[in-house]
Amino acid sequence: VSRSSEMPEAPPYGLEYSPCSSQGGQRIKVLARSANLELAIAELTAYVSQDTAVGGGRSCLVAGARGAGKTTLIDCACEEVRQKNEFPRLIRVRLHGPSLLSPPKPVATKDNPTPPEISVQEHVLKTLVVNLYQTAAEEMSNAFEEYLRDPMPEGGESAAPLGRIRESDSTARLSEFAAQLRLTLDGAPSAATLRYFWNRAQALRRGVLLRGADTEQGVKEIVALASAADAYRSCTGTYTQERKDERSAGDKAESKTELSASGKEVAKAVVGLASGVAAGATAAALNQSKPIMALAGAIAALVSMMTLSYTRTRSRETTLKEAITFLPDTTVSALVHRVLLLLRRFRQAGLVPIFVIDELDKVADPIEPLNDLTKSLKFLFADEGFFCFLTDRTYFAEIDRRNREKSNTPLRTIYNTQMLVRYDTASVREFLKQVIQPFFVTGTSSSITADLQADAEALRYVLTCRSRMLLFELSQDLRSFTGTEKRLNPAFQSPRANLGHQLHLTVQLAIELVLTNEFVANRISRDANFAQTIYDALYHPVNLWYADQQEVDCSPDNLIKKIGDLTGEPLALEIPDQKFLQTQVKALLDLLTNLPELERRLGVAIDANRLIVADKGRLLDSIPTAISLLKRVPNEDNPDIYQWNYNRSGIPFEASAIQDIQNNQGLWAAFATIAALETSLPQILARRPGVGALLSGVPAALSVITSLTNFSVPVGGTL
Amino acid sequence: VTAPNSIPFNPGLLQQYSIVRTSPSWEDVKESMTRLRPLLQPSANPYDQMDLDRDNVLRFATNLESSAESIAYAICLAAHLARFSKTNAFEQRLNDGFVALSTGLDLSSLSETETRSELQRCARAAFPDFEFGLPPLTVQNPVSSVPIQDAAAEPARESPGTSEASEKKGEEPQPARAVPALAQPAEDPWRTALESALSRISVMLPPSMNDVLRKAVDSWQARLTAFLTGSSGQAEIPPDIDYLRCRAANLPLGIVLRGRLRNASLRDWNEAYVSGMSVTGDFASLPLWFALAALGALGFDVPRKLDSASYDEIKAAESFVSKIPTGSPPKGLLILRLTAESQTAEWKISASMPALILTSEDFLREGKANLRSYFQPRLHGVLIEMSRDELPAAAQTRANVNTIKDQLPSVRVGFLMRAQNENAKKMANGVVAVSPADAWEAYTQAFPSPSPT
Repeated sequence: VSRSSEMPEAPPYGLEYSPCSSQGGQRIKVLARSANLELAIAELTAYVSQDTAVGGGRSCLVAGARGAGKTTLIDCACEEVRQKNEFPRLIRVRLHGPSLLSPPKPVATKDNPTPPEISVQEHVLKTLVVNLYQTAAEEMSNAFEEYLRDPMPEGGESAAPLGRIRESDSTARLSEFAAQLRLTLDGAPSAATLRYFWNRAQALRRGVLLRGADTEQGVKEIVALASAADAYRSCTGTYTQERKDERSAGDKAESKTELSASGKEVAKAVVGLASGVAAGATAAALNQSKPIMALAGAIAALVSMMTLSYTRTRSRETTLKEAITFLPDTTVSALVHRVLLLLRRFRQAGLVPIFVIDELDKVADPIEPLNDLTKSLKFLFADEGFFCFLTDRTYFAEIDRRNREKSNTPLRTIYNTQMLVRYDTASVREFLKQVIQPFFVTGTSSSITADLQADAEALRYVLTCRSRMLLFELSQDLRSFTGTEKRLNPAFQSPRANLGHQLHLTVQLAIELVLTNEFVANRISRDANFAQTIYDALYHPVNLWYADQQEVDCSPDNLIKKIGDLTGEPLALEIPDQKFLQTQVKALLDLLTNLPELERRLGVAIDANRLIVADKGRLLDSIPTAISLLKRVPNEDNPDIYQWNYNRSGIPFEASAIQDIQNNQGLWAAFATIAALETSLPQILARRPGVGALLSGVPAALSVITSLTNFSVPVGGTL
Repeated sequence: VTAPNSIPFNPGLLQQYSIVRTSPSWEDVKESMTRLRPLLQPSANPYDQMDLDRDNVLRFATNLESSAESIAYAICLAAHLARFSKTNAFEQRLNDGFVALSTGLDLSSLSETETRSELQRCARAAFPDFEFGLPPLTVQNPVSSVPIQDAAAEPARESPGTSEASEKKGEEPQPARAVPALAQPAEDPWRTALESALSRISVMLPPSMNDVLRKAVDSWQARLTAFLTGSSGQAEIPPDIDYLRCRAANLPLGIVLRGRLRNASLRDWNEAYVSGMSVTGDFASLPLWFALAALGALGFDVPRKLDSASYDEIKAAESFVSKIPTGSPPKGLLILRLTAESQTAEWKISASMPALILTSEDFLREGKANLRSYFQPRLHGVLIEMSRDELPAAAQTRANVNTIKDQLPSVRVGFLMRAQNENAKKMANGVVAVSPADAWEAYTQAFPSPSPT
């Protein structure tokens, strides 16, 4: 079999993409750092770690262009906080913004032909409850499974009971048991059912979320989850509106459930018990409507029942005899309080929900609906929960404008933190530095490893340019570049040798050079909003390049309009700022019209440490100085028009005709020069002096040596 | 000895030695030229990538023209350095000369302009009072326009396929159009000037080796002193021609460190320490002060009290050390690495954690000076690097830990592991660092509590 058709084996070196780093033996996802990320982490950490007795919600407005990395930023912040804070544990509840602001139309039935409209507030609260329960249930079932698999639980009630389960249950059965809980949670089970699972796993006292937790932990977990399940049933309409207790509970029933697969018997019993203690002091304190009182009473009773059943007193039989009718109240006020209650219950159990309302940039004109919503539910959004609103820059600009117009707007107090998601090129490259690294086997020559390092550095610039500073594009690109396992596709040296890559590298280096300008750096550091506009302006020619538009109109009006198109609304800038932007873009374009000059200026910037690169020689070597990437083509009306000569793949926009090539005198001169040197070099280097010249000094030297060889020292005769 | 008419050399090697810029690569350009050549025929067919081929050729020629001086200097210097190589084959000696030049000057880290000025500086040092007088690298009358029919008729420039096609299609005579022809390389004045320079250089008497060594030692001392005392913004003393001569001759003074110390790695400095401490008896061996300088570069303070060294070594070392200001650098680590496949190979120098990384044999070997009392108070601990399947006890035996403990009695001992191994970790009492990225991380993992003062 011929091997010629097979793919050649990849060399044992190249570049790899490692999205995770190792710290102390743990794999941790590498994040692109930014000031916004640090701020988000600080806010989340403060909220998660605050004392449960102290209220205090936070709302973050996270704005940015599509693909700028808003979701990534919040996800990364949540992930980092989760890794740093094992307990209480942050859970991220994701909510779809467009659906949230569009309540469904009520369905008319025979009994109710004209149902009332569902208000946005009611819909939002119900959605919160549903998503909160589902997220918490998933988190809890994961923790439950982990707890069952952990061979050495620390500080459990005792190792023996769990050991007993383990003796009788194989690993497969433990997994099955965990899976059973997972499926049961899908149906929003009752407290009794949950108790069955926790009891069976010997986690009634210390729970499953935290090793070494206090003895109330298990109860708190069940209370929180059962409360959420109860609320979930109410909001999804699956709750039985009337339920009466049965007298089948008791120690006998409980012992039966030890053998039961579903825990159904105990479920009924405990619900009855919980419902039976309806009139609770909690409800009275809250001064709420009857259904709320019922719920609160149920929760209080449940806690007491747990304690009692654990000690196996007979007192529970007396409480089982009562029955209630539970009618879920889905009015806004009831739902608000239910959500607040759930937040507290979860915090007590060690779960801190963070609500992320995503995709608000896909809502057409979200300003007023969102403002109405945030104002009406302010005490939930700003005072109790942690909500992140992910919007586009239009909303951010509007909020900013309103805040500037009035010093004390309600919006100012709703959004504790407002951030415009943007990354600077240095932080993106630092991130890429962590995730893109060369790999090679021991013994690889130092020249190859140096080339690999230079490849990695060049590729980081290339990817930064390709992403146009949009993290979404960057992550897509990284995925598309990643081949088998973690290996990156670009072949050895191709990040510096492929013309398409070289052009991206060149453009990115030119942008970085403009960013090192003292005035630009100063504006960026002073004004985050304008900083983003500067980036938008500098990447505007690249965006056109990516749209295969050859012409770059850099006139101030056009530039401002195009940046406005990018942000979704006209850009309102003072004339000096407009001129400032145009000056920078023109500086960039002028650099790209003269690549040798760009190379020279980059060299100066690197030597002066204004630009930090690891391998200046190899990096600058990759700038294709001999080609004309961009040219200025002014016309009578507009002197600021430029034209790309090459597309982003490195292919000329205007293909030549064969006559152009044949008549290109410069080309054939170059051809001749190269051909001449190719022929000359081996001949020049082979030149050696002729034998005569080589031996010219030898006879004289030989005579000296010979004379010394024959030289004898007279020592005199013997006496 | 018969002089060959030519030796295997092509413009790609100029790129490999970082004398001309590497992009576009010679391989690509050669292919582009092969594809373009048939276009000299009047009836040639266009093809998709002819624009790219044109650009490749233009770019490469521009690179060659702008590096013409660099190429000439490099060839002359390589021919000169080849005389210091100890290999027999002429081609190999020439290659040694190019390698010494390229790696010694670290040409790959320089821009085109810097490369030219560095080569020029070295050429002036190697050939004082010598004027090169090089014309630009362009062939004389490079493009002689000839009528298209003549060009097509020239058999040497025909592509078989296109020629045939032109015969078949050539019923209608093409209008006479100017098509370029390739010029003769022999007419190139640049080549003539270079060959003349090479002829004169080849009969020059080489400097005596003693002079070369003496000057190399002097410049090393100046370079190391400047490196250890200079601020980061200060320009370093670049590699000199005597260093390059030693490098071509494969002598320790030419290969111990990179000539550009800012590019020297953790590994380079550790190897310099071992070489500086080694007693070889060779006349060209490294002085002791190389090892002292290496300790300074690694982040330790430079030893000032030396025991057991020879009088000459002590005198030279004291003279060197007297130029280095005293400081109070942080404590560091001694890492007894594996002989092969050490995980420390790619570590970078950690500013906050000096690390001496060498094999236990190298550490325990009787060197030019006894530095036991120097290391004792300057180490947080010793880490023994373990191979993949090795257990701590075996690693301790291999590293001769008892002798190490005798020499450094109050220094803590831990292990450096490549991957998590709970069993081995327990056996090592938890004093381990697992695959750390540098010496600082190794320290924080293995010795979380500060070392006793």
